[in-house]
Amino acid sequence: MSKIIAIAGNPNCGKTLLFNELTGANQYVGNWPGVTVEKKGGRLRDHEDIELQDLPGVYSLSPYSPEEVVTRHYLLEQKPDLIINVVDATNLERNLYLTGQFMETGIPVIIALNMMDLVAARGDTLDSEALARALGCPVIPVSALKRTGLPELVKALVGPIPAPAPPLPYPAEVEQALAHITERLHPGTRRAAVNLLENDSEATAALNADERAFLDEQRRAVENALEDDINSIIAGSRYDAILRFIPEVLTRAAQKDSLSARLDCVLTNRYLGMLIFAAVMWLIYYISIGTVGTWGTDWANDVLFGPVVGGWLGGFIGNTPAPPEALVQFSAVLAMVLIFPTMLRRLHDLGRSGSWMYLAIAPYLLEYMCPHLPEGAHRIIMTALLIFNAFLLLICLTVPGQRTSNKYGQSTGRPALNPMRLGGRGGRTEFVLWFLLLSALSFGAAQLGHLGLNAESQLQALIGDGIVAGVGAVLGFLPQMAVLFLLLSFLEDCGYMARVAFMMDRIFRAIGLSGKSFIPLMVAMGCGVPGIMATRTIENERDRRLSIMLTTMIPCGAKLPVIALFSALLGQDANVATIAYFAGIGSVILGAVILRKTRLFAGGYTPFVMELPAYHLPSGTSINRRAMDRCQAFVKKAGTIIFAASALVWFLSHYTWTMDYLEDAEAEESVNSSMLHDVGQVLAPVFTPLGWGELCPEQAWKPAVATISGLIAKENIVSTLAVLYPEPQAESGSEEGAAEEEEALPLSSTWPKCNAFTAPVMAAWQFNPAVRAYKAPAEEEGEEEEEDEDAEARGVAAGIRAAGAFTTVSALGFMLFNLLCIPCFAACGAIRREMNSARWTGIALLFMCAWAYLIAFLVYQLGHALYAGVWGVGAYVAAAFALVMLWLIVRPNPYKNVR
Amino acid sequence: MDKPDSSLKLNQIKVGRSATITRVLGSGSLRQRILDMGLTKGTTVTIRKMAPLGDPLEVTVRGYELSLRKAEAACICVR
Repeated sequence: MSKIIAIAGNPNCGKTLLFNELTGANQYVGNWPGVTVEKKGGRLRDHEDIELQDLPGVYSLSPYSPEEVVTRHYLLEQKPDLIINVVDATNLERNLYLTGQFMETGIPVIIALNMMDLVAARGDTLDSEALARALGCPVIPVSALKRTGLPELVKALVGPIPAPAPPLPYPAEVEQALAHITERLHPGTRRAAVNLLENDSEATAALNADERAFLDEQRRAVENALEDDINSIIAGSRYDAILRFIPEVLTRAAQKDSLSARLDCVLTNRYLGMLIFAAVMWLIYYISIGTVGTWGTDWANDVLFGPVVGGWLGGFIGNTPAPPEALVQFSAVLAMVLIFPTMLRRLHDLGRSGSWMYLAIAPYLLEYMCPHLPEGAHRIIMTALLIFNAFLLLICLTVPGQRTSNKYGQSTGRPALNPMRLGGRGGRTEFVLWFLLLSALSFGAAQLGHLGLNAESQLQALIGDGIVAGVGAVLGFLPQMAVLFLLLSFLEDCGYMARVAFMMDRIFRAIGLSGKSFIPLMVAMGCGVPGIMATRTIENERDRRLSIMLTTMIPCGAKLPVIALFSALLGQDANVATIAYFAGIGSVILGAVILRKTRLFAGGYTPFVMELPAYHLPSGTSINRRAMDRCQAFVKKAGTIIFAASALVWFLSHYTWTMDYLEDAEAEESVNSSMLHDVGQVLAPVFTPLGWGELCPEQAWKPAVATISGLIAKENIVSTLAVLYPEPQAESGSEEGAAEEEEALPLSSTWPKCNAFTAPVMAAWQFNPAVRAYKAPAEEEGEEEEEDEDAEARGVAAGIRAAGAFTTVSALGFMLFNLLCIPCFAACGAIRREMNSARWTGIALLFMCAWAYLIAFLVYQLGHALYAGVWGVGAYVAAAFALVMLWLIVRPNPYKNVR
Repeated sequence: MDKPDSSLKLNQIKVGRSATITRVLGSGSLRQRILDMGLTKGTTVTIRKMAPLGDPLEVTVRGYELSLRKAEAACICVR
C-alpha cells in the first residue's frame, strides 16, 4: 500500500539528517509553490511505495513565517497519511509543544525521539514508553547521527498506520468554548476549532458577522474566566499539559554545565567572541581562497583547461597531434569527474559518510602544489592515498546494498547512479556497470584526440575560443566553490552560524537588517547565487527582500579578476582592492539605510527571537550533500547560461550583421565591423557622463561592450577587455599559443592520475605503445606558475594602457559601476526566484543599476574636478546628487510609525 | 491591553539572575513567537549573557538557549 508520510519538527532537531538516513540518496530538492522555502521529498529506502516529505522546521503552526505557513497548509490541505514528528529529546518541552499542535490536526503521529544518545551522555534518563503512554502515540527512540533505532522506525512506517492520538487537554473553560464552537460551526478538526477561538485571521475569513460575534463572545468568556488573553491562555495551557507528564518521563541528573554551554562561553565571550569570529572567517578564506581551493582552481585553469583539454581538442578537431600524456591525463580526469559523484552517492546509500572520498582528489592538488617534495615522501603519500581510495572502491564494489527494483511497478524514471544527477541510487551490480561504463567512456572520449578532424577554422574557433574557454573559465571556480561550500555547511550544521547572527545582530540592526543577514553577505563573497539562496534563513519578508537586494553588491569570487585587472592597471594593488571591498560593504550599509527609510520597507521592526542550538559535531553525509547540491547549482549555471552566453558573445564579435565571418576577430578592422561594435555604439552615450569615452571618444563603445558581457558573468569583463584592447605584441606570450608550447607541459608524474577510480582507464592506456614509451619532460615550471594570473591581468592592463582608454578616475568609476550594478544573469535569476515576484525583482535590479550609475558618476565627476581642478556642470550636478544622497541617509525615517 | 505597565521587565534583570514571567505584552507575530518559544506565564527564565556588543541577550528557558533583543525582552513582564 502506498502512503505519504510527512517528516516535521522544530528546526535543528535532526530532521533533515533523519530524512537523509531514511531515503538514502533517493531525494529531490525543489521549492514550495509560491514561497521561497525549500521543498525536499524522497522515497523510503527499500520501500519505493512510501513517499517521504521533509517539511520545513517550525516551532508552531501559527501563520506568521513562510515556513509555518507552508507546514500548516501542507498538513491541513494535503493531509499526509502519517506525520513523523522528530523530537529533540534534549529539548522535550518545546518540541512537544509542536507535537500537541500536530495531534490536533487529527493526522496520526509517530514520534521519532532523536538525540537520545545526548540525553544519556548528560546523565538524564528518558522513559520513551512512559512518553508513549502519556501521549497515546508510538514513540521510537532513534539517533540519526549514530544510526540507532532506524530499523524500528522503518518497521513502524511500513506497518499499519496507528490511530490518531487523543489531543492534549486544555483547561475546562477552553474545552467548553471549543465544544460550543464545534457544535455551532462544525470546523471539522479540533485544530480548526482552536484556530477559530484564537481569532486566527485565516480561519475566520469565511465567517459572517453573526458567527464572528458568537466567536467573540466565546473568547471573551474564556478570557474573563482565566484573566488572560486567548493567545497566552492557549500557548500556556499547551505547555502546562506537557509539564504535567514530564516528571514521569524525564529524570534530570544534577545540573552541570554541558560541554556546549562551556564552549559557548568562550565562543561568544564578550572579548574573545569577536576575535574568534574574525579568526574563523580568516580561516575560511585562507582555506578556500588562499590555499586548498586556489590550488584546485589553479590546477583546473593552468593544467586541466590548458595543456590537457587544449591538447586533446587540438588533436580532435584540429590537426595538431595530441601528446599522449595529455590524452592520458584527459581520460583520467574525466573518469575522476564522472565517477566521483556516483561513488559518493553509492557510499551515502550504503550508510557511509563518504567524506574520505575527498582524499581521492588530494593527489591532483599535491601534484600541482608540491612538485618539490622528495621523491620518497611523494611516493609514500601517494601510495597511502591509493590504498585508501582502493579500499573505498572495494566497499562500493562488494557490499550488496540497495537496489532500485520496484516491486510496485512504478519506475523511478531515471537510470540509477547517473553521474549527471544527484538523486540516483543503485545496487552493487548497477554500480559495477556504471563504473565500467564511465571508465570506458572516459577512455573512449580521450581516443577522439587521435582523430585529427582538422575542422573548418570557424568551427575550431567557436569550440576552442567560444565554448571551451568560456566554460573552462567558469568551471575553474568550482574547486574554490566546493571548498567554501563544505566549510560553510560545516559551520551551519555545527551551530556556529546561529552564534554569528547573535553576535552580529547589533551591528546589522543599526542599518536595518537582522543578524541573520550577515550569513548571506558572507556567502556572497564566494558567489552571489548561494548568497541570495542563503537569505532563506531570514524569517521576516522585508528583511529578506532587503538582504537579497544588497547581497550582490559584495564583491563575489567572479569579480576578483576584475579587481585584479584594475589593480594592475592603476598600479596601486592594495588600494584598488581595498576601495573595491569598501565600496561593496559601504553600498550595503548606505543602501540599507536609504531603503529602510522608503515606503517600500516601511514599518521596520523585525523580531529576533531565535534559538541558539546546542553545538554538535555535524554528520559528514549532510555536509557533503549540501555542498554537492550547491556545487551542482553552480555547475548548472556554468553549463547552461555561461555556455550559451560565451557562444553568443563570440558570435556577436565574430560576425557582421550580414553574417560574414570575421577570420581574425582581434584585428582592428574586423572589430569595427562586428555586431558587438554596433551594440556598444548605441549604448556608449549613456555612459558618457561617467567618462568612459573621455580620452578616445571613438572607442567609447568598448567599455560599454565589456559591461554587457559582464552581465553574463563578471569575469567576462576581463576577457572581453582582453579581446578589445589587445596586448601590445612585444609582450605577448603565455596565453595564445598553448598548442605550440606543449613541450613545456607540467605533465610529469604518472602517480596523481592513477588513483583507484581511474585505475581501469590507466590500465587500458598501457596497451598504447606510445604511452608506454612516453618520457615525461623535465619539470621546468615552478615559480612561473605562481605568477600566471597576475601576468594575465598585467597583459590586459598593458593593452588598456596602450589604447589610452581610461584616466585614473574613469577607470575607478568603470570598475565600481561593474562591481555594483546588476549582477550576472544567473544571480538575476536567483533574485527572481527568491523574490518570487516580478515587481520586486524589477525594483531590485533597477535600484542596483541606479546606485551603481550614481556612484560611478560621483566618483568620475568629483574625482575629475578635484584631480584637474576644473569644476564643470557635471561636477556641480554630482555635488548636488551627493547632497541629496546625504539627506536620504540622515533624514529621519518618515515611515517609522507606519504598521 | 497595551496599557502602560510599571512592573519589572525581563531586560532589567541582571546577567546570571532568574525571573518568572507574569505577562507578555505586545501584539501580533512577535508576541505569538515569544509565546510559542515557551515564554509563557509562570515560566522561569535565566539570563545567560549578553552578546559581545551588549545586545541581544541570551536566556535559558525550558532547558534551551534562546536569543532575544533587549527591546523584545522589554515586552516581557517578570517578577
